[in-house]
Amino acid sequence: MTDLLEVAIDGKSVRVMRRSRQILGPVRFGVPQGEFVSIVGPSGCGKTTLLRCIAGLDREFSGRISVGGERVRGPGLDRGVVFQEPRLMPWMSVRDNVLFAAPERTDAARRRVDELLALVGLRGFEEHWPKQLSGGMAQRGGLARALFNVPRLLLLDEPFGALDNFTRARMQQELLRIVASEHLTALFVTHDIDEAVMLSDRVFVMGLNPGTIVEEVAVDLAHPRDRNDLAFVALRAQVERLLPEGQTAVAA
Amino acid sequence: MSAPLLSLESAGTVDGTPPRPDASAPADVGRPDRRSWPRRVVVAASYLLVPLLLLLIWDRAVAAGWIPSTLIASPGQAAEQFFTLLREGTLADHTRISVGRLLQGFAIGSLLGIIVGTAVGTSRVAARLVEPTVVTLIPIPAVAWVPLLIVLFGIGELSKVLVIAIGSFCTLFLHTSHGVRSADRKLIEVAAVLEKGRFELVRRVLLPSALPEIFAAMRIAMALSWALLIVAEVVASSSGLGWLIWDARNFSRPADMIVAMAVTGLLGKLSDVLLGLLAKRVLRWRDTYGG
Repeated sequence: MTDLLEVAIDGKSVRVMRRSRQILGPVRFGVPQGEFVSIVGPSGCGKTTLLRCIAGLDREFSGRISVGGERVRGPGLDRGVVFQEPRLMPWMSVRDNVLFAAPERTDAARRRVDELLALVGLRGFEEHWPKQLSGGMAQRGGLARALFNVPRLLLLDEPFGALDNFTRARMQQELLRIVASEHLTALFVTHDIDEAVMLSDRVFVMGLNPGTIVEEVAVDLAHPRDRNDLAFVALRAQVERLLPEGQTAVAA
Repeated sequence: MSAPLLSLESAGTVDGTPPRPDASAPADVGRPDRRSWPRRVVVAASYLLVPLLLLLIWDRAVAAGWIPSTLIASPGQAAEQFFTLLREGTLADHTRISVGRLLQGFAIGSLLGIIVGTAVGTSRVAARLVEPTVVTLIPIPAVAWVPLLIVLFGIGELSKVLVIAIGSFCTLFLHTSHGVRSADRKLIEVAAVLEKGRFELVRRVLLPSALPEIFAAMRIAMALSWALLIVAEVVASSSGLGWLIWDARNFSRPADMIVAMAVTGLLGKLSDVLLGLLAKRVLRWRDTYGG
């Protein structure tokens, strides 16, 4: 059975001030349907760039990316994106922002919006302006919006970075639950190793200059996972060893 | 399974209510109490000091004969004439005519400016077709169009409305096209990921994004419209506040002149305040220093 996502990038370079810098080196991997994959790496290694290429927002690379057998030519509803910043439209209420994801503003759509907002813990804030939300709350709004259309592939770029530990832990569990119940496939970029090991079936470790997948670590633990579990700790250490020194996130 | 210690719903505040700015804390702690009566009197007086002084100088200048009374009236005379004209209905007539011209020209010009500006800002084809012509014509000050418009349309209502419309169009066109082109790419990407078509992108992302600049442009265009109105009425009209100012000069009715000037100024200020209030309401989602 072919993978849902097939990435075969040969490379990506950009010209900065007359010098050519290679952002991405060869990146080749496949992600089967239903799998949760994290990409960890130091700041600047190109993980966001890689995600953007898969999302179809960046087409300047040589190589080929396919989703469901079809080549990615641009952004699409089949690939939901949760960006690093919440990116809510400032002139729309929280509810309208999530409703923006709906192709048509039907009553059913409105009900789904309210469900999703309750799910991410924003019940009671539906009529608020984005400016009235904290960063973490706005980010959760962005997550609700990305989930609306139940995308086959969910791409998340450090979505929980701005949240406090309690909320982050809760959101991680919610994400796992949603991904499992809706049979989504997820690609999760983070610099937090704990988070990667907690959520993923596989962890891709990315190195910089140029950005490539250095190593792949399979995480075979059953859910729910306990970060104090010996196996967890061992895997975490394994991933950490693969990252350049001094560039790892502090354990959350 | 026991209830979680801290539920996600209450992550906004400790007790679960949505966050509200604290209205009870005074804005400037440490300064002398703004609300005390002596302080209020001082503040009011400082606002009125310069205007009262100017009025006094004006009054004394006319009384002492520094300026001939055929050319200029004293504040008292102007005030008296104001009520006379009001009673006679002349003031109301001229005001109505002027305001009508202004609003028509402003509305037409602004609407067209926004439409064309949006088209040029969002479509490269439209830009290529329209922009060279518009960009060449905009530097011509709207006033300079008056003679040509009179030649084409005579001294009827149309020429005056058109001058004002041209001024408003230029202002709104420039600011709208700029505002639309300045939309945040991050938000455009969100629309792209959600497969929003061009029309929906413009309507729900690009235009709202440009609204702050459009409203600022409208206030500029409004001020310009008042100026153009007066000029057009002086040059080619037999009615309106501008005509009144000029006619008063020609027939030595200095009080009328001042009354018309004052009324124009007040209406101009009123229109700006109204636009400002409208902007505040429409743009209440903004998260900026100015509120």
